[in-house]
Order: sequence, then structure tokens, then C-alpha cells
Amino acid sequence: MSVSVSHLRCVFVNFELILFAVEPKFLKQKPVKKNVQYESDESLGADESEDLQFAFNLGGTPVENDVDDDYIDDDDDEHDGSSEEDGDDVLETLENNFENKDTRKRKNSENVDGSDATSLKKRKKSKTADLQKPPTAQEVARLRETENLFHSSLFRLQIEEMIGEISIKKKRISSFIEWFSSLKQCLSKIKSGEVLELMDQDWLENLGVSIPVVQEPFSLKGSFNFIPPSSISIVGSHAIGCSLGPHLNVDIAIEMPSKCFQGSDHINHRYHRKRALYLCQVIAHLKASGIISSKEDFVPRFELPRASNPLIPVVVVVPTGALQGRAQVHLHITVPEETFKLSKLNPSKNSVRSKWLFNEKTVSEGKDYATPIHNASILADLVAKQNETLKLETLEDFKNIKDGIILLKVWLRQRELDQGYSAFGSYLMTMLVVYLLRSRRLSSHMSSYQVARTVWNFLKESDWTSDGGGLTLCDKTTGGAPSLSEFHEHYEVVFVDYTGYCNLAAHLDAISFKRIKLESAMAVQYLDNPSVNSFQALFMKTAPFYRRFDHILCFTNISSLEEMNKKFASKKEKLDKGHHSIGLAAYLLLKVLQKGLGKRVSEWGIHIPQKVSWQIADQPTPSQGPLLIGINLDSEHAYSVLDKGPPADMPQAEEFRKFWGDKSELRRFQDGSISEAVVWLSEKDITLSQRRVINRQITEYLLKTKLGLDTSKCLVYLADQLEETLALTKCKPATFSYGTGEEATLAVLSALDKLAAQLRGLSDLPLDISGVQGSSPVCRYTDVFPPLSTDSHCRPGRFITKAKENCNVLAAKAHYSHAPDYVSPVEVVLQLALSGKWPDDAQAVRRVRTAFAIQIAESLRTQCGLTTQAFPNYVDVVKDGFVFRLRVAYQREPALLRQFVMPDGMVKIVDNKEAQILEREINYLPKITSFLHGLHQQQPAFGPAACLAKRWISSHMIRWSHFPEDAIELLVAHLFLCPEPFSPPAQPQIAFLRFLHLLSSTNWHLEPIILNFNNDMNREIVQEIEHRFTSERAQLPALFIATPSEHLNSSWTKEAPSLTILARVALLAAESLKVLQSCYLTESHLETNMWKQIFRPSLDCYNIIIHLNPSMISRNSQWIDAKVSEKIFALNPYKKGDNEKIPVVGYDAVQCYLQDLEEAYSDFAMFFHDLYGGNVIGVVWKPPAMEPKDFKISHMNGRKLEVNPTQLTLNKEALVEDFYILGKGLVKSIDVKDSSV
Amino acid sequence: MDKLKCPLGLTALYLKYSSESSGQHMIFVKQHAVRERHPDKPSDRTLFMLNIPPYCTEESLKFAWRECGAVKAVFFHSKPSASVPLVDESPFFPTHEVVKGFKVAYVVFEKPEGLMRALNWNQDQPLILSSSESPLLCGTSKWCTEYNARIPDVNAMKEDVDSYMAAYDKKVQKEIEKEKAEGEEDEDGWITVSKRGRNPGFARTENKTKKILANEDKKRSKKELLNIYSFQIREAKMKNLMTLRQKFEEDKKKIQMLKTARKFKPF
Repeated sequence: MSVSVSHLRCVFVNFELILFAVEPKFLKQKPVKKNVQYESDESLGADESEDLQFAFNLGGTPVENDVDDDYIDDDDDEHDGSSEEDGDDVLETLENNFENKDTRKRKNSENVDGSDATSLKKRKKSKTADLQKPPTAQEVARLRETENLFHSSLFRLQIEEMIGEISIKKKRISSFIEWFSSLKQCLSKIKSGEVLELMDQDWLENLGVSIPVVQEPFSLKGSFNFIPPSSISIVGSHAIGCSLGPHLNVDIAIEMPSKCFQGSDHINHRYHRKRALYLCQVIAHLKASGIISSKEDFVPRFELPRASNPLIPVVVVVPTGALQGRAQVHLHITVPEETFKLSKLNPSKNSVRSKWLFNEKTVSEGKDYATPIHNASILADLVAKQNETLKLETLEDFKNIKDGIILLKVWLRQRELDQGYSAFGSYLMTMLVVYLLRSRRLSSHMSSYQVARTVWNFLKESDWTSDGGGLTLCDKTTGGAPSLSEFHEHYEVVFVDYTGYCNLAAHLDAISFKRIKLESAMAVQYLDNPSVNSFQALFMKTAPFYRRFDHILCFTNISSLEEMNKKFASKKEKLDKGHHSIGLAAYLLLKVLQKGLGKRVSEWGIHIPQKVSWQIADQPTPSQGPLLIGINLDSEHAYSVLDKGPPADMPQAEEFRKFWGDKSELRRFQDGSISEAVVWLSEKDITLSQRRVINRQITEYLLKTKLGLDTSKCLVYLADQLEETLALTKCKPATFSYGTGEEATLAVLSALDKLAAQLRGLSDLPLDISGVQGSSPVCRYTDVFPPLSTDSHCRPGRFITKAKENCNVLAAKAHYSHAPDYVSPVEVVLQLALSGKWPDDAQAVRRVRTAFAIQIAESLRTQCGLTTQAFPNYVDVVKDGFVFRLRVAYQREPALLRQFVMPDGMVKIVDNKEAQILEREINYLPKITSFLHGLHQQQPAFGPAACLAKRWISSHMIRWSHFPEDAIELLVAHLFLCPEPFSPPAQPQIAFLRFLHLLSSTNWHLEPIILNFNNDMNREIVQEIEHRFTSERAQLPALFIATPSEHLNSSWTKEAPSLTILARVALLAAESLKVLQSCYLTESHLETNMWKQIFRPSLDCYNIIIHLNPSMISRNSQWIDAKVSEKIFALNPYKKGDNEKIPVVGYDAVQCYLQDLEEAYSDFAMFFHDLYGGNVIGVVWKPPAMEPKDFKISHMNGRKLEVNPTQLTLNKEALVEDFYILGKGLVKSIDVKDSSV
Repeated sequence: MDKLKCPLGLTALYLKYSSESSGQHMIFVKQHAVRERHPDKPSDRTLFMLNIPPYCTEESLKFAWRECGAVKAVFFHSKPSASVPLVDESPFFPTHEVVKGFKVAYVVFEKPEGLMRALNWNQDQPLILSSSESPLLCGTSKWCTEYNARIPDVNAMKEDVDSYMAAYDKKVQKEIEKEKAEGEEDEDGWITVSKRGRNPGFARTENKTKKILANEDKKRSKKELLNIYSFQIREAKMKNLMTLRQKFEEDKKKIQMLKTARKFKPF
């Protein structure tokens, strides 16, 4: 594997650091002890948590030096804050208990003040006293408040913490105010300029600024002269104290005097051009004044904040001085309201003349088309001041309301809804809160939590897109303001401002509003669901666009979209939106796609990830790709291969035919109806993975025929690119197409069903078989390469196998030339009918089970004609070309194994490894298999997603003994059961992205994974788990997973993964996610190799690389870079032969080798290998083993004697030689990489 | 090469897989001498060996010492031990784990001279474990052999099971009879209570004992009177308040933990 990726290399270097070089050093350092206070009692636990802290610091979160200070600060706060609790009984107790005891209360409050100064130590002593002190009036008040106004006390505390975290420091605000006054001064000093023609822009060159709007067409009459601004004010969120920190973001409105304009300047972009020129003047002057930073990272830039509308740029500057790097100032241009008559800009009016825009010689008859969007872009500047005043008046000093706005803004920001094209900006959100306050749906007494909740509820219920659903802030009925229905006629979404003329939501399209509605509904749902950690889901977890949608249509080639605009946009659309090419393209695309995909899509989203900004001297570049359209699949309709249209005799049929063209055909359906229909794929031979991406085919067809786009050039349909890694390379199954292996899994399951029926029907067993449960991954759809049915390996042995009585065994040739293909057995657990006759001794039970195995093997052979072989612990049987391994289970056996008779005759229960393994085999695994099987039935993307995750982990040479495969599957299941803040994924690839994010961002030390399948665990059990997790964290495994069958011990992860492996996986996941993110958000995905590179390991970090002989690797063809055979051979369909033998099953030489290595050398080294066809084994020495040891009998293993001083050192040459000896026949060569040690 | 001096009375020797091998293990040997004597490990004929590599087998050690004389037995342990390892009763149902990884070995020679020769082994001449005439199976050939050997002879297995169960049934029958006999009145008129019989006693397990003790506690607490004295009421209320506060403290602690983990920075 010579291919190694530079991205991942750095990960490995880090990994090496964590794993082996730094760990011991770190332990010596003894880092900040205080932040692990919760387990300071247990010395062992403390060590472990430090470890974790350390690992996670490396995993990405920055290590901050001020942890110590923080801690002390917080501790003081903690003491100030009085206790609180939710629930009625608390209050009752408190009140009953301490009525009429004012004097006592007062005394106590003094105590509290006094104790502030006491040291930590003292406080610890008085801990019980603290708990017993009577409550103060404040405490009771706060408790009542929490009960009335908040979700829960934890929720309230979290809100307070978060708001504190993102608030802006006072120091920063005051230094900003200073800066602002100097800005004002500076701007007032600009002298008025002379009157110039609009087209005369030579003066700009002298200023070193280019005009920030595209001037198309250039010719435009009119004149421009600069007059100093009539007013400068702080507006927006900072003005009302709702801006999101910790960096300061301020909007400043610079009012352009009305004298700059003539009466008809709103026509033909004249307003916008003047505005742009004015902005140029302002910025040029500021640049010269030196109050804005000119450092490379902070140079002033033009941006398009308002829905990316290229006509209304703002300039972003960074102040010099203390604020540099900590503050950003957006300079907006506004104009006084009286500049233009507002009614001239009514939605139905035209303000861009087609004569000018299209340079038409003849003036067309009648009125020009209405240009509502263009009008709104001017109106917004005109009415800004009035709305600003309204906002300030309504919000006054309502701290709670403002906190509520902050919460809502954080919520929007985490969902990437507040910026870019069609954004539901924070301005709109604030105005909505103002609206609700004015309409008395919010009151000033409400808590921040209630504000947010009311807004979400309101958004959930309301519909601003249909007539009658739009909102208006205007309460004046007189005047020439247009009616709401007039607004609805021209805009998709309506929210009219205070003046009654401007639609604040003009830029919003219907699908974006629908998305807001859906997100709000989800928010309310989280709040109502007690089992969701709603605070995390709502405010803390990021929900970026690329992880949000099942399929993403990524349009990369903007110029071809512009071409499409030219050809397919109507004149009206061009007049109104022509200046915003990417917006117009999105509008056209959505119009067609929405109609074509229809019911297949449950949710739409649109996003332009690139923030449009450019330096002031550069030419404007308003249209930057890529444009992303996201769709979520509707599980009912998205997978059908056929779209049924209206019946042929209905009038709608004509329209249907017209839309689909040749694709539409008349079909007779099973229910007898004859309808128009569009068929995308034939039912025969279509795989489930193909079904999931039928939408791609439809999209490509629509874009080609309806919009003339060449999809191969401009569209990348991101949906199933990674599924390639699950494909077969060497052979193909006999009876179906392979796809991603789901069909193969189904074949195994149907064979198992048949076998189960036969087993239940066996007649001459002492006890009937009552239950047949699969427990292999394939039975829960999570086998990366499910077994395939064929008769070729069941034939009596030849070449590398020999035939024995019932089985094939390995022949001498398999020792040195060639390994047989891997055949994996499907594990099945058999439950027998109840009986009281089982012996009371574990050893005897074991014999009885064997007797059953022999009997079952015999019966299956004679009664069902199957080939079988009994083993001491199981029976192997061939059914339909698969090998099933049946184990008889006796539920009491683990308990018997735990029983020990003490000398005094007392029976004692002692847990032991043997019992645990058995319990897992016969109890937990079948249960979890049925849970996951059920999950897959509900969410069919689960299986392939788990396969992707397993393949990825394995591809980085992490073995199941390092990270158990069941644990991986359960983590993937977690993404489906608790998808917050998303909806459950319907496409495996998106689930895989979320899996990577889960691995890279979760602090496993603080977060348990609780899998509540079918809600089998009630609230009390969940609380018990959470309580145990926090109180006994140190004793629990590094990764804690609770399931209904086994909810307190997390037996899945007891042995592994260790902290180091978790930290390593986190790093790898973060790197891989970065690569994938760049695939999604930039244009680099055009390279096909980009996708696979996250599955290629780097070998840099290993001390020793053992190269294996490819012909001896049984799973060679599963290797990620395995060559696709030129001649893919088809497997024979299974037919029971006369002399059928059980094939060589479960034999994988590499696994045998690894087991030998692990058993013998696990004290000295770790061994890494990719199960799926990896042809190398990586070895890393364990650092403690490398150190010289004293000459003691316990240290002698694997070491050699050194004289002077007399001590033992690791005998590496001999160990490497041993690796060779143990792997005789399999090992090709061994590279020892580090000569230093 | 100078002779390596070893502390603890040990002698260092080299051990190789085969004569062609390049790397060699350093093993340490001495005469087996401990206070507890075991007849199978006579002190005058037993060589104690440390740091034996994992792939070493009985045969290979016999082969390695062939020049010192015939070897009667070889015992492997994971740690030095005076006794001999237990042997499985049945080939199909192993109850004792095979020693894996590096191990210690006790080589019992037929004659005391063998031990003497072994102790005076030339340090420059490494012991050889495997040669073409006496190969030590490793790697693919070992795994293949193991795989093939795993497929049992069903009839033999059946016989093994049957004989074990017959013996087990007898044992159980005997126990029952013994208990029955104990259930009868003895000379002094005493009866031993067992699980069986007319008036069966309870099973003597840990759980049962705990249950009974818990029941006793319950009974005793039932007799106690509560909510009589005002101090009891006060204390009960206080206790309630304390648990609530405790829970709140826990919440705060949780927050504190989240805070140290920087969990409140949304972006």
C-alpha cells in the first residue's frame, strides 16, 4: 500500500504522539487536577480522566491555560447562586418548613455572605451544613420562577451559561464607542464633491476603489455628487444589545442625504449605482484616515449581506487599536424616507425599464412588468430608519425578550439559516419578535425560554406564503400602501414592515420559509420530548447544510447556469432578478425540480456556501459557486421506479404529457386503471442502492430536457459516492445484482427463515426447538461483505482442500501456495423448550448441549437431507449454499458458571470471563440483533450506513478487538434513533458523515449513548442510567453505551475501545470529515479519487510493517484498492450436489496470525490490520515495554540481559524474528522502520 | 565471547528457532530447587527455564536438549510453580487453559547427568528448537493442522459425553441418597434439613441469605414508630430538602463539567 495521503499523515504523527510518546510524560506532568474534581476520591479514576482530558485536547479542542482561573471564578459563582429545584413538592416543603422565620432567614443570608470568603477546604467540610441551611427568600423566588418560566432547572442553567459565553465584554463595547465617535468625526470632515456624470467614473481609480456593483448595461444617464452623510448611527442587533459574541459585530448606518438623488433615481439601478459610488467615497476616505485596519487579514472588503443581493453591497472594516481582530463593522448606506415617494415602489410598479435593460429600440406597448424584488431592495433602505425606531421603542429594556432573541439567533446560526441566499436573517427574526410583542402574543414578563418557544410555536402554525397568512407591522389603514393580497400576488413570502410599503421577507422563497417552519416544528418537538437533551440539540449542535440533506445537488459551473438564465428566464424574471444571476438560476431550477420530483421529496433546502466578499480594489464577483440544493427523501414515494400520472381521460393528463414529453407513456395498472406514467428503471434486477438514487436520474433528465443543462459538466449529485467502497470486485452473485450487499443480506435471511422452519419441525429431539435467532452481523444488515451462496465451495475437496467425512479440510497446498476464499459462518442461537431436567452443574450442561448438537446434526441430516457436522459447542449446516453455525443455548448456564460453592456450603456468585462471553453470545447478541434488525426495517439506510462506518474504521487498520464492531453498529444506530438536530437519514452516505462528526466531536467522558429501542426503557430507567453515568463515571468504560437489554454496564465496550483508540479515531474522523466537507462544499469533488482517499491508511506511524503474501489472504478481493478483475466471474447458483461437503469455513490465516501475535506479544506491542483485505500489519511498540527493567523474574519475558548496569532490555531482534516464525508462509517481508529504538 | 554473569543464580543461554534464524532469545536456566517438593519435579533432575518463546512445544524442547540426554517430561507454566499443570479429562471439553505467550518451563531429565550437562551448556552454542528432521510447526501449516484437527470424530465425542453423563448421574444419585440418609433421624434424634425431603429447607446461596437479612431489617423497621416526635418530622423534612438540594448540586456539577469541557460555546 504505497499510496498514502498527506492529509492523514499528520493525523498519524499526532497519533503516535498520543499513543506512545507522550502518554507517560503526560502522566508525570500531572495536569490541572481541579477540573476533574468529580472523581478526585478515586486515584485510579482521576488518572483515567486526566488521560481523557488530554486525549481530547489533542483531538481538537484548544487547551487553554486559564482553566485554573476559570475554575475558581466559577466556584465563587456557584456559591452565590442559590439552589433551585423543579417540582411542586420542593416549594411546598420549603414554604411549610420555613414560614414566619424571617429572623432566621436573615441570619442565614449573612452567613452566606460571610462564607464567600472562606477557602475551598473549609467549604468542603461544611458541605452537609450547606445542604441543611434554610432557604432564603431569593432562593424561593428563583425556584418559583424556574418552575413557572423555564423548561427545567438544568435548561435554565444552561441558557444562562451560554448567554454568558456569547455576550460581549463591557471593555470591548466601551472601546468601540470611542472608536465610533472618531468614525463620526472622520466622516463629517469629508468635503462635498463636484457634480459628475454617473458614467464618468475615472475618479474612482485615484481612490484605489472599484465600484462594487456589476454595471450591466453600463450606459446610464444621471449625475452624482458626494455630500457628507446626514446622519450616522449604530443600528441592528448591537443597537438593541442582541448581537452574538464573543467577537463584536456592529452595523452602522450611514445616511445618504436626499439631495444626492433626483426624483426618478429609483429607476434602472440608478439608485444602486449612486449608493455604490457613495460607498466608494466613504471607504476611500476611511482608508486614508487610518482608523480602520489595513493589515492583511483585516483589510476592508465588500460583502453582500442582504440575501446575497449583488445590488446592495456593504463594506466591512476592522477598527484599528485594541479592537483589531476582535471587532467587525459593517457600513450600510441608507437614505431618508422622503427621498422617494414610497408608493412609487409598490410591488406592482416597475422600476427597471426593459427598454434600458435589453437595449430595445422600440418601446413595447403598455406597461412594463412589475419588479417587486428590485423595488423591495430600494424600499428596505428607505424604511430602515422607521423600523429601527419601532424596534428600539418596542423592545425597550426588556432583558428577557432580548435574551430570547439571542437564543433564536443562536438557533438560526447553528442551522446556517441566517446568512446567504434566501436567509431568514436575524433582522427578520427580531422584527418577528417585535410583531409578536405588538400583537400581545409575547409579553415583557416572559422568560427567554418562553420567548423562543412562543416564536417557534408561532412559526410552526403560521403560513406567510398564502394569501391571508402574511403578517404586517403596519397599523395605519389610510394612505396609498398596498394591500396584503397585493403583496402576496408579487412575493412568495410576506411580512410587511411598519410603513406598510416594504416586504421585509421579499428575498425569502417559499421553500426556505417552509424549512424554517419545519425547523421550528422540530424545535418545539425537542422541547416537548423529555428524552431528548433539547438544549444541546437546539443551541449547541451545529447542523450544517451538507450534513442536513440526504441528497445534495451541487451546481459547480456558474457560467452554464448563467447561460441557462439567458435562455429560459422570462423577460419579467430577468427584469426583476436578472442582476442576481445565481438567485435567478436557483429560482428556475427549483421551479422545474419541484414540479418534477414532487412527492418524492419531503423537504427542500438551498444554500450557497461561499461567502461573497472581495477586496475593495477588486472587481465585484457576486456570483460564486457552488450552488447547493438539498433534498430529503420521502420514504413512501422516493424509491418507486415509476411515477404514476393522472388517468388518461382526465384533462390533467395532457399537462402531464406535456411536462414529461416522450418519457410519458400510457400504462395499465394492477387495479385496472389506465394512467399516464413515467418509468425510470425496470423493476427487474434493480438494487436497493439504485432505488435510493432514482432521483438523480429524474433530476438529470429534467435539467437536460427542461433547462438545457449538460449535467455531466455542471452538476454533481452527491448521494452515493462512498457506496462504491462496498461493491464487489471479483465475482457477482448468481441470482441478483449485488449493489451494496443489501440483496445478499436478504438472501441469507430468507435461507435462515427456511432453516428455522425446518429446525422447528424436527421431530425426534428430546426438547423441541422453540426459538431460532441469528446473531451474526449479517442478521442485522451490518455485514460489510455478506456471505454469498454458491455450490462451488461445497464440492468435495480438490486443489487446496481435501474431503473428510462431512467436511472439507485444508490440504497441504493451502499451507504454502494459496488460501481458500473466506466463507463466513452465520451464527444462530437455538432456544429449546423449557425443561426442569437440565443438570445443575455447568460442566454437565456443556455435555448435554453437545449431546443436543449431535442429535440436531443427525436429525437435520436424516429428516431434511442437509449436510451437517456436529462440534462440541455447535453444529455447522449447509443450507442454500450458506453455512449456518447453530448453538444450543441454555439460559441458566451463565448463572451456573458464576456459582461457586464455598467451603462452608454457601453458594456464592462470582462473575467471570467465561460466563460473560457466554452471556453475550446467547443473550445479548441475539437481542441486539433483533433490535437492529427492527431498526433497519424502519430505517432502511441503517444497514449500509453501518457497513460504511465499519469499513472506514477497519480501513484505518483498527481491528474489532480495538473497537468492537457491535459498538460501531450501536453508534450508527444512535444516529438513527437520536438524529437531533436533524431528521433520521435516508441515505447511507449522509449517515456516515454524521457518524464521522459524532466520532470527532463527542466528548465520550461526558456523554453516554443511550439507545432506547422501541422506547423499551421508561423515563425512570433512563434517569437511573444517567445518574449512574455521572456518579460512577470512573468505573465505567471509556465509551458508554446503554441498550434496553443491558443498560447499566455497557458490556459492549468494556474491553475496548480504550481512550487512546477513541482519541485516535476522533482525529481520523475529523480529518476524513474535512476531506469530505471539501468534497461537498467546493468543486474539488470532480476528482474521483477524492472519495476513496479517506479509506486509505497511512503507514508512517508504525514501528514495524509486516507485509503479507497476497495469495494467502483469504479476503484479498475486499481490499479497498483491489483491482476490479477484468473478467468478473459469476458464481454458480447453489444446487445440492450428491457428495456435498461443508466448505472450509471461518478460516482466515491473517486472523489466526493476529490472534497468535496478540496472545504472545500483547505486552510489548499493538497490532493493527484492515480486516477487509488489508495486506499489511502495522506494529507499534508499547512505550512502557521499551524501558529497561530491573533484573527480576517477572520482567524476563521477551527481554535480554545487559551488563553495566545489570538490567533487562527488550530483545527486539528476537521478537521480530518471532513475528517471522509465527507467520511462516503468510509473511512476505518485515520492515523495521525505526533504527533509533 | 565472555560468559554473561547473571544474578539470582541463573545462567543465560541463547535459543534459536532454527539454525538459519538470525534473531535469538536469551533464556535463563537454573536447577529447580524449591521447598515444596513435587514428585514429578525431582530437584536433581529438573531444569528450570525462563523466558521461553510462545511457539515452543514439549517436543521442541526435548529436541533442543537432545544432546544432554533423554528428557522425561516438560511442564509449561505462565509463572514459576512448584506443582505440575492439570491435565484435561476429555479431548473435546478442555477445562484448563493452555499457557500462551512467554512462559517458564520445567524440563525433567531421565537422569541427573542430563541436568548437569544442561547446566554446563556452552553459552556460545545456541539451543535449536526446530530442524528438518524434527520440525516445529508454525504459521500456515500450524493453522491448517489446527483447523483440520478441530473437526471432531462425532462417535468418539458421543461416547465421551455418554460416559461423563453416566458418571454424573451416578454422582447426583449418590448425593440425593446421602441427603435422604441425613434427613433421617440420627442416634441423638437430630435431622439435617436439606433441599429435598418432606420439609425442605431453603437453598444456601448468597442471594437467599441477603434476602433473608433484608427481610429481617424490614420487619424491625416496621416496629419502629415514625412521625411521632417533632424532631422526627423536622428531620424528615430536612432530609427531603437535602436530597432535592443534592440533586440540584448534581445539576450544577454537570454544568460545571460541561463548562470545563467548553460546552457552552455554540460557535
